Amino acid sequence: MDPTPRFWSTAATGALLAVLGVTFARPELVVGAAGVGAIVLARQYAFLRDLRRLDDDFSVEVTTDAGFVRRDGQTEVTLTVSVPSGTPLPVSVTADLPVIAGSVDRGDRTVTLEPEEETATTTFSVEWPVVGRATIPDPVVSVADTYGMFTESYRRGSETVIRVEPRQPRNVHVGEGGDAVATPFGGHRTDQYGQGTDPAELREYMPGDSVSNIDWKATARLAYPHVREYEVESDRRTLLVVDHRARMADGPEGETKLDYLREVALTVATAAESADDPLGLYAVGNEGLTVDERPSTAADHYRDVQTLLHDLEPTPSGEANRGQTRGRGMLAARNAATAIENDDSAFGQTLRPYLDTTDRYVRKMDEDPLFGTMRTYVDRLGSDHWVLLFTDDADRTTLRETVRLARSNGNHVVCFLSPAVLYETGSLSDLDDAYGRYADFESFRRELAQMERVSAYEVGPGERLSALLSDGRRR
Amino acid sequence: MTASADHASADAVSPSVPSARSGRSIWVAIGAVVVGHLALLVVGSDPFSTPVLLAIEVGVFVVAAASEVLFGGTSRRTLGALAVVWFLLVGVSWLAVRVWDLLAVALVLAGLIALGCYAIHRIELVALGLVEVSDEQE
Repeated sequence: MDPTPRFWSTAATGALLAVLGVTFARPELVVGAAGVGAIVLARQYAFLRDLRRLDDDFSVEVTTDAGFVRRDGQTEVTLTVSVPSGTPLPVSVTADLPVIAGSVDRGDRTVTLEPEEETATTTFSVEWPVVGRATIPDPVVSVADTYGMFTESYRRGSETVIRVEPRQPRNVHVGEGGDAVATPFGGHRTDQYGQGTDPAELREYMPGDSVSNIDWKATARLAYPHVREYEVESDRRTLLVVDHRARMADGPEGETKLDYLREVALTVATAAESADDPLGLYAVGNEGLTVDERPSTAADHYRDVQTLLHDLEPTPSGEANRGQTRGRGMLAARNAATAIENDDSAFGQTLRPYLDTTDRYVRKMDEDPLFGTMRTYVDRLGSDHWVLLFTDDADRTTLRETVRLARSNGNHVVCFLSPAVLYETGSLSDLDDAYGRYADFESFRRELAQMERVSAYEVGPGERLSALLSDGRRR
Repeated sequence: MTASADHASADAVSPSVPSARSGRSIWVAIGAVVVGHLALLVVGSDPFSTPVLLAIEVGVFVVAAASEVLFGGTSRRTLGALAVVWFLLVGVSWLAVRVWDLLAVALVLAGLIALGCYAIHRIELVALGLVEVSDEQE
């Protein structure tokens, strides 16, 4: 219970009477001070009674139209206050917002009940610019004494939790003809026996086997020479070739073609790291190669590749940046640019112009950059690579030639393709047309997959593909 | 940016306090008390003349109660509380000034009123469940 200036004025009046009474030896004034004190106490008691009555019958509720929201999205928050028997006091209830929520005018999130009113409600929109778990605390109830001598504020109701999730692909579908493929890339077996550490099988000794391969314990147990064979360990040299040209920006924010392909590429990179497979990364922009990370098994290399994948953005069309920065240099430049982004010192201001443009080309190409990269860089790395190509099907002729080139030298090629029909913004208005375009894509994917040492998968939002296919099946 | 925010923003500490209905009631009541007791000085009667003082105190109480009813719609229970506290404090102080020094009476009176205010404040905290656990342990 907080006293207001009106309370203090009243108390000061009583104190003045008492002081005057003592000073001038007039007991009437001291008795008058007692009267003022009686009024103050009676008012405070009345406020206490009204507060208890209010609290017994008071309910407040904060509801949101969604339990989670994407970053920069909005939710409608509704604050409802109810006092079925009518409030004995003027009440205002304010919904507080967590620090990660956008600003909302206080008046918009406050409801006021005048005496004898029973219910009030307000609805306001909250923007969520920061990813995280946000708790909308229980609202603050503020009550004032009818005569303005006391106020009280306390919390009532319950907390509401909202998850703010990043704009990134959800339900990434990787598959063939609408059927998801569980592990298009990951653990790999050689199915060959020889030198290694993982025991494969025990078999009888054959003429020509090395004596050193004889398992003497098994031989003693089985009364005939036996040879222990081991699974041959292999390194799958993996090359990620990621297309991040302007057209890869198709799709809603955070769910573009590149975003989906990036998720798959990151999964492959993680699998390669856990298998200690040499991993390389080539990224292709509008005008040429932007990242050149040759295959390596160095510990930092995997992290660099993953960071570079995270940093990839669709290159603006017509970009004319020049430079000869290798992948690691790009990474360092990006890190430095981020570090001095908000540095207003002379040091930061001097360096910033040199680091502003970080999407530089390793090499510009006059021909199709994807094909050029395959011809100039990948083809020179030798045979027996696994080339993982992340792109779309916009230019099928060139893609077909690129795949043919990639599989030469005995390479295996895995194409991850993002069909344009799955990335159109808005709803699928013309389902007939959309299904037809998907069927066209599927025939192209099969054509690629039928090539020797080539696999092709579609990558896209699972819900959208399911909706498209279920409608197609109904027809 | 990723964050976990379980704390309310800073403006939670400055709630929107609704405006009071009227301040006239309290000022009429206080004014009646001040004017009534100053009138006793002007009249210059014997300060311990019981009939005069009783008439003044009853009159002032009636004005204070009437202003509450007129301006605030105060319930009978609140009026009863006002009557009890009024005659208790005024009566006790009137008896005390006859026996004790005025300064002592004034100090004791101030202490009693402050204690009463604090007691009601604590009762309110308990009634609304606003007492912190650490407070209870202390």
